[in-house]
Amino acid sequence: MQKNVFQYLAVLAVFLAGLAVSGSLSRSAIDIAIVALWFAYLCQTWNIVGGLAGQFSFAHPVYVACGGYTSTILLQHLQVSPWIGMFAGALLAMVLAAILCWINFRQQLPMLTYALITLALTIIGVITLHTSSFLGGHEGLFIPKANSPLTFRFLDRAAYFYIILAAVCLMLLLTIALRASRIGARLVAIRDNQDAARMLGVDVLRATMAGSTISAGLGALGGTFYAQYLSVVDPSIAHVELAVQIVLMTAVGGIGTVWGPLFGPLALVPMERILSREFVQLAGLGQLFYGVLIIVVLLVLRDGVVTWAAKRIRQRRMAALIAESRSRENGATG
Amino acid sequence: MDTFLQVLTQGAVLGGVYALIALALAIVYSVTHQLNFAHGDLMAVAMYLALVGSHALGLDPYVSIALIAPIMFFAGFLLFRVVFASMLHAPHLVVIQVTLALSFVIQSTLLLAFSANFQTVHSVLSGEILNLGPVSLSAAPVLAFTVSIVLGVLAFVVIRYTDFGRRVLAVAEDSEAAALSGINVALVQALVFATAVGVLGVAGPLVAPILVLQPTAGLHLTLISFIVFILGGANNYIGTLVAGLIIGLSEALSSLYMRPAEFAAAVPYLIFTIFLLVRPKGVLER
Repeated sequence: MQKNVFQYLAVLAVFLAGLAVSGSLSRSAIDIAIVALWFAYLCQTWNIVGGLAGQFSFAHPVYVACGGYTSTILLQHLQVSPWIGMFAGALLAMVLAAILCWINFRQQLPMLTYALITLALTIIGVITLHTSSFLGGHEGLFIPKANSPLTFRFLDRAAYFYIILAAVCLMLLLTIALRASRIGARLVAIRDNQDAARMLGVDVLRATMAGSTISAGLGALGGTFYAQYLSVVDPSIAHVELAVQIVLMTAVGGIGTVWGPLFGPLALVPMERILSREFVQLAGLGQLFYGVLIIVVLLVLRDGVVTWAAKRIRQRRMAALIAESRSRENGATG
Repeated sequence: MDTFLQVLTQGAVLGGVYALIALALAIVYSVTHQLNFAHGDLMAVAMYLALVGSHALGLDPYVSIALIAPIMFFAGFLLFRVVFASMLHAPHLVVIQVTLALSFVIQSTLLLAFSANFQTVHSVLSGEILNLGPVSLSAAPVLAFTVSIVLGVLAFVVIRYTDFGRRVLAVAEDSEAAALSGINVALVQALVFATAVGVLGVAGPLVAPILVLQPTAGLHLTLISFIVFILGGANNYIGTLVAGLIIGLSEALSSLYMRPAEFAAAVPYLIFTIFLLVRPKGVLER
């Protein structure tokens, strides 16, 4: 409990720090910050099902596209504000996730098989977006720029920064609460050993269904945000590379942890952007550095930076405790 | 009717190449239990090496195989020792993450060295046509198909009838028992991995004159080899060949009949998804 209070305070500190730096960021820096936070948000939503429940899914771009496309279509055809439309997108993503989850449960898919099925679905999704004229084909759908907060459109970039910062902090709170809750404990139990969890009376279908639909729905909200921020939604939003980046950034931070999905993107996105800007005449060099760094982190630290740091701290504490009890014993005998 | 036959044979020819690269993936999986998401990217490297050979040294892609295959073999050996060997006992998740990052590294390197432009490689067979009754075929794919089948049969013979092959089978069956009976498991794994990459070093230059080269070409090849590997079944040569043909044919036929035509690219993935839903246990264990 005490640990949770400490974590809630840390979330507050993140939020305040975000607010504090927002004023001093340059125009390009705020764009990088928004994209980094957006990736952090997606990693956090993926982490619920990919990290806590251990259901390794590549379908997240499909959910993100559900959000971005649904809210944009509703805005264009029915003049529904994206603030409302984004929940329609989230609903669609949740239905898709529920179907996938049910299939996974019914067929008892091995982990690699599930990963490959979701990967195949993402590719089919991208091809569908490219070919559908209703969804704008290659060009996608445009959202006219305007300054109307009621329809989720701002000319001031800072507004998007505040929104995504708040969303990331809310996700931190949700993850902390989820890890401490019954459903979170059930998801972790399923990840560690599904058969044992079932034997202890965990309703596997219900727990994973809850986890996947929450994860998908929240991911879709991120899609609407990105469409509004860019004023366009095109098939690139659902690319396989997005799924790969979500997985890698979460892995570098620490899969299944509260702070890993935030730390990974916040460290990697600005680094990748700065490297590609520094080596602009050498396209690819920045990404090359970035990829090598990820491999090194994964091979050396295995479970990501946050998990590694937590382990080190625990080891220190244990060592200190052991040393303390030893010196006490020595004092008693001597 | 002519176009139909034409497309049919072209699909079958491409399917043979798919079967070969899936076979390379399958053999590595059987001895290391690692699914390499950078498999297709390694093949893309071999294709670009053929491009370098043809542009810088004036070598025909088919001649350059003599150089590229050994280079890829040694590169594969090193890659296994540096990256893959340290993940042998890691969970599947770590292997997926690291090989995805590796694919990222290879794609960026290709982008850095060759730019994002589409490129093509010319060979002596470019534009040559073989006439077989009602069908006329380009010579280059037919050669690629023939070499693929020969290599597949060769792999089968080596594994079944040589001492090294028996060691490979022993490691695939039970690596601990193999180690106890005196087999150098780490060496067998490294050699199998290196051979698989060497096979990509043969397949890459063979298809370089047929396909368009771009730095991201690897992802598609990786996924195609996963699909063929899983459809075909582990350690099942005939199955892998049949699966390769099915995917090659479905790609070719759907590009002919599918409307809108762009959706044809999705067909192999659809077949794959449906197959896995019907036979989920497939060949990958939990």
